[in-house]
Amino acid sequence: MNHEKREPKIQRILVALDASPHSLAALRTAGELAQHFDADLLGLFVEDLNLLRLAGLPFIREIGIFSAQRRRLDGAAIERQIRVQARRAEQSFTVLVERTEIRGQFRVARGPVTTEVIAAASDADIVIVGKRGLTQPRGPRLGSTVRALIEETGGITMILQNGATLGFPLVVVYDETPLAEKALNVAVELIAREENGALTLLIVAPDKETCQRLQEKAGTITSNLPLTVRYRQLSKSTAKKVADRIQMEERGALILPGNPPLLEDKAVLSLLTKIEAPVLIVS
Amino acid sequence: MDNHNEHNKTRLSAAMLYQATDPNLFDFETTADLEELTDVVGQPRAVDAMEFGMGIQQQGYNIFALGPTGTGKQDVIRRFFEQEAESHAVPSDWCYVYNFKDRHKPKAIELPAGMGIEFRDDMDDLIENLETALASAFESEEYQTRRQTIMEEFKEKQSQAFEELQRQAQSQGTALIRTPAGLAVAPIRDGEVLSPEEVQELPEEEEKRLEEKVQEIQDELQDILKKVPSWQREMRERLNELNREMANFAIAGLLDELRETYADFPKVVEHLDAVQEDVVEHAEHFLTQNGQQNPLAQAMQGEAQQQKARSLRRYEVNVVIDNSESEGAPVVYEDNPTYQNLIGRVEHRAQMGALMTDFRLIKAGALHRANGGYLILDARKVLTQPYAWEALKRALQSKEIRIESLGQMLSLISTISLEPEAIPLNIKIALYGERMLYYLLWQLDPEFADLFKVQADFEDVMARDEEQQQIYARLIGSLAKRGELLPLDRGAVARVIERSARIAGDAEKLTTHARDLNDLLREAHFWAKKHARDVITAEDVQEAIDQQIHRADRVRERMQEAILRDTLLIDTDGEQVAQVNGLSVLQLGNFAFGKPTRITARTRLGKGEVVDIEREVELGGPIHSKGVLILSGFLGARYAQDTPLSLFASLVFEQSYGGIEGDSASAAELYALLSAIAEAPIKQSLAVTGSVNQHGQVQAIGGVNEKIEGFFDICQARGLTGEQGVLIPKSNVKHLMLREDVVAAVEAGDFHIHAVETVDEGIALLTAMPAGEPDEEGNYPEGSINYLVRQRLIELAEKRRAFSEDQKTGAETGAEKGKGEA
Repeated sequence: MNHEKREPKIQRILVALDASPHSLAALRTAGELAQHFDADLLGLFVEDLNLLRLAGLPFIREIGIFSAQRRRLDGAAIERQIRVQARRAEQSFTVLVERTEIRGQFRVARGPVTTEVIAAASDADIVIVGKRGLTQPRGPRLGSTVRALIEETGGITMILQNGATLGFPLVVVYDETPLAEKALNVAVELIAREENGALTLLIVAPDKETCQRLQEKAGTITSNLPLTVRYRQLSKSTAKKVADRIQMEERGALILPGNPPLLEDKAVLSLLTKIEAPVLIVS
Repeated sequence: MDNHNEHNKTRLSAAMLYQATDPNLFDFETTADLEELTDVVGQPRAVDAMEFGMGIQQQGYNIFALGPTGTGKQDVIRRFFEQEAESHAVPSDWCYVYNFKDRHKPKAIELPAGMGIEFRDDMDDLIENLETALASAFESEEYQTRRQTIMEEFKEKQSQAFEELQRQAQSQGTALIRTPAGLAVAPIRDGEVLSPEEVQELPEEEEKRLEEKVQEIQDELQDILKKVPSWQREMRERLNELNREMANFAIAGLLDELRETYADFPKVVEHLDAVQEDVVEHAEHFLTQNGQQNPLAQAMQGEAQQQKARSLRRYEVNVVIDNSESEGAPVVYEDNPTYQNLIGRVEHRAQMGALMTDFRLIKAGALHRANGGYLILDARKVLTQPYAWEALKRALQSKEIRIESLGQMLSLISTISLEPEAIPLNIKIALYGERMLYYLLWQLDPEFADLFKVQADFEDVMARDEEQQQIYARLIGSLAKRGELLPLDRGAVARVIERSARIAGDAEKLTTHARDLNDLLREAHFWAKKHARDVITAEDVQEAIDQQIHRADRVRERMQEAILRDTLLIDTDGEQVAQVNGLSVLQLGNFAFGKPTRITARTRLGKGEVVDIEREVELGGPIHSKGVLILSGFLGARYAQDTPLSLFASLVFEQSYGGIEGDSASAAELYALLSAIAEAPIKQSLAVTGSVNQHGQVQAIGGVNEKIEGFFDICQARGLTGEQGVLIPKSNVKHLMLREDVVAAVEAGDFHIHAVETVDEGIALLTAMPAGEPDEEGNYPEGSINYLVRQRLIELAEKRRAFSEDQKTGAETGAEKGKGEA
């Protein structure tokens, strides 16, 4: 088998945690992946510097999400709340590690979230982040964290919402870029040990010939595997059309190459925020 | 000579002691040849009453069959009811269903016989189909899409508001920041919150502006957050509306079908409407929340499943009365008429330690089962069951069956309870019981007369003429057939009839106690089988009788033994003054036997008192005392018309340690008294029974056969002398059905039965002296008993006068003496 040669080999998985249900669900999926790849799992809780700073500004009030009541922000209270969250995250992490018997390590860092996550991501093969639900406002944090991850690290970023599991068929956006090939390889890795795995390749190319060529190329990668592979050729497509196409597919996880034209498109970004299945961005 | 005549006049011939039934009266070989008897035998009055009671339909004409136990009341009632019931329509089925308006008051629905079960099955099917119909409706793409749309709309509304705010915040150099417990608006630079130092470094004006902006956005954020709950509510309402719409559409078809089937029954249709409304209202209970991964929702799944099962159970139907397999009107005999068995009950089920109930746990009572037909109850049982009688009357008065929990009524348990809708009652009830019960109820319960207007009075005995004996033979045959016994031959039938007369205690009557008759037949069958016969013969019947007696006569044997061993002193020969053999009857269970008792009298000078020692020590009952008082009435009237009765007499039953009741020994007491006064000896070879009146006539008593046999047994054991016999009242002759050995002894002249009409006849027989007729002046001839009695009484009166004059003189002398001394 050419399995040995295949890139990337997934050995370390980083999961960024806060105490929210989403991140706990992300933790579950992370555990499954760690088992799947026999990889080390690193849990990271970031004590958000921004929050600590808030308490220092006397004119800022916290408004309760359910009660809609204004409250003074008290530095000591914020510290305490953050500690509670960290402890809860750690507990969940420990329970998971003990139950699934994976190698795990939990860490608490203090600083700006993005900086800390990127710092920790440098030696991880996959970074898993939870996505906030739509009922809660999305701060700039997550978007910027994900973007920074894609731009600044050369790994796989996995965005999870509401604890969705991988699901099949995996949908891979496949174009001429090297990242697309990496994305396909990631998909194959993910599917490798599943029975009845299925894969849908959305082949994006400027013209039909390239599409055909890419399909053949993909065929050589997938041919030896017990997979059902479906091909969708999208020639002369805009990023928006790709986004529409993705939405039409019956799908499990979505795997995207982190290429600028695609990821900078508004439609694609909007899709990413709405989509319920996990999204893996390969960069 | 005179005495001899007296003997012949009163002595009964053997033929008068036993009225045998001639087997040749019957023209069958065995009872197997006889046609079965379907009519009621010997109860014309009760039968008429039953026919009347069955025919009359007005309220309150329920039947009370009164009579001693064992006269077959229950059988007769049942036979009447069953005959009548055949021609009546099968009554309706009754169901209880959930009351959607008031769940504590389940509704009753009446349906034609057989439709109750159908309705139940239809509803069960409906429940099954409901689930699938609702599931497919709620799983349909249409529903899912519309639901998603509503939810999406809400989400969009919310995120739009936040996005708008976010944008606004960003344009002002601020941002929304998630805090552990809420949201905050913070000034931002390069994606990071400004530190306090950075804020301080700002020019004052700038800082103030920043503060104002933050304030402004905070206000807006608060507004938005305040609106979220109402948006959520709106979303839920719209989702509910959608659920209702889908549910209605999904199930309307199913229910329409049922409504069509049951179009003739408005109550069913009404119920179906309510079911539909309820299903639509609670459609969410049918939704299986598969899509939800929320841990709370998962935890709630179990509860939701239970809730769903509970909701579905409400649409079930509880058929309390199912007449699908009935023919004619029901005839119900309730063996155990407790309150609950009569009017039905609501059962409870323990659930998490609490007692729960619902309409499905309503159980029918005997009144429900017999509704539209007939109910037979044992009055004694109804009366001994707490509250049963009151409940029965209430149901009859209100003409409806209302199930009320006894526990609730008495506050014994406090738990959720039901008040099921009352069911109209149309029923004919027959109670049966002893006469005493009927008369007591009549007297003590004012409502009784309104509710049980028909009294069917059952006779203990029936006439024993030739025609009746033929019918009785058929009755015996029928009983044997019904009891699957061997048939009886003619001799056996005759013997059974004779026995029946003996049980009735009257040679001219037959007992109507079916139980005694049945027992005799069954036992005769047993002996016939034992002797390997294929018909029951007279010997078998006799053996059955003998064995019955043998099993019961331990006490009699002990008594006789005591007499024969002279522990109890009874003379059966010789003569004695003031001592007579009286006869009493002891009843132990259903076995009665006679026992001779020595009665003695003592007299002395007195003021005309006859003292009953039994009465003085309270061993004698009032009737016995009455008998003794009649004696003194007789004595005074006959012998002391013109002189004071200057006698004190005491009477006693020797060696009697139990109570004595009845006046059947008053003749014997009188003879003892006359003998004592006249000092004339009485033959101890004779025993006496009979009561007397103030004119000296001897009157009938009960248990004559047992009494004669009781004395005969003693005499026979000591050896019959030919002198021995018993004096019975003449009016008891028709009751004689004596044992074969007694009859044989009389026939041989070894024993005698004398039927006497007056005291004079009796005393003449006992003393072998003439009683003596008074002449025109009221004087009795010398040498007669009456003469001796009269003379003695005159003597006593004179002695008393002399004595009281003596006393008077003595008293006067004494007084003078005292004076002088003073």
